[in-house]
Amino acid sequence: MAANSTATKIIDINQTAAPLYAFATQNEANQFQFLTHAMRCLVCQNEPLADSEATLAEDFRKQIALQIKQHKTNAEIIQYFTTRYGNSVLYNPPLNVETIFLWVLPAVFFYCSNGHFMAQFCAPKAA
Amino acid sequence: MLKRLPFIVFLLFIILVWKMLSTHSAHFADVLINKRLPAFSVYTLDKNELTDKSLLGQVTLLHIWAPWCSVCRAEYPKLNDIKAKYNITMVGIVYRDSLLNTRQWISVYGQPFDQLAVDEKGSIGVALGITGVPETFVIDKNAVVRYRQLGDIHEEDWNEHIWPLIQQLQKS
Repeated sequence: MAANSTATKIIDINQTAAPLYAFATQNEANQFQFLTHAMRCLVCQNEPLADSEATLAEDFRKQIALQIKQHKTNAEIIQYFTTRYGNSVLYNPPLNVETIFLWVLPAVFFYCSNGHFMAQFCAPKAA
Repeated sequence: MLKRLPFIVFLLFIILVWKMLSTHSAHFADVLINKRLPAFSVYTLDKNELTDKSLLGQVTLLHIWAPWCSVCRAEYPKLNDIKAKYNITMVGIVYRDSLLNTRQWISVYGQPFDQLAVDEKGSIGVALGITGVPETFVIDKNAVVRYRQLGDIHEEDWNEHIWPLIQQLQKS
């Protein structure tokens, strides 16, 4: 059931966004779909570029399509946008010095709130 | 000591987070600060090419705006005042509007820019990392972004940040 839902979604996306940009190959259309779902619209409320009707999102999509037609790789296109807008343009920010706390924070809070008490609870009691 | 370890770890963590938040902002508006202005190319009303390299060798107030934008329209008299009162090179780029509208606008409301270009399709907006109009950049002599103003320029911003910075950059 889950696989069917995913397949339907991919077909829907191809029927809406990709034809507007008329890619020469299916690979280019797939690359467009991937990138417009990997990046978010910066002036919207948690909306991927693919779904946003904002003017800025339209500019982003045009730029992505242009660079795909110039045979740029995903990494090159993502770098183009992160150079100008930072990692906040990505739905999945990379693990680096700037974002380390995003990844470490839950573990630290978990340890501080539960780990210490769990250790005490599980420790053998002195007679 | 071991009993206090979680508290110490937590305290250190809070200090680190506070330090990072106070010294570094991940906000997209700060991404270009102290970095070379991204490459762009657009044509002025006189049909001359304006690029990032055109800004080398001078301190520039780069203003992105549009006649269709109400905030830009309200801000426009301030730009005329700035040009009249201060010694500063001003470059304007009209975002997503036509040459005709731009010509009509400046014929009525004045032209404070040393160079005015029109980006009819909006491609320069993404190239410069803007999210809307108006936006203003202070660009130094090496075409490095030194200041970025999202939205219109308020008098306090101009007096306290922008003009002192421009003066400092012009002297250096």
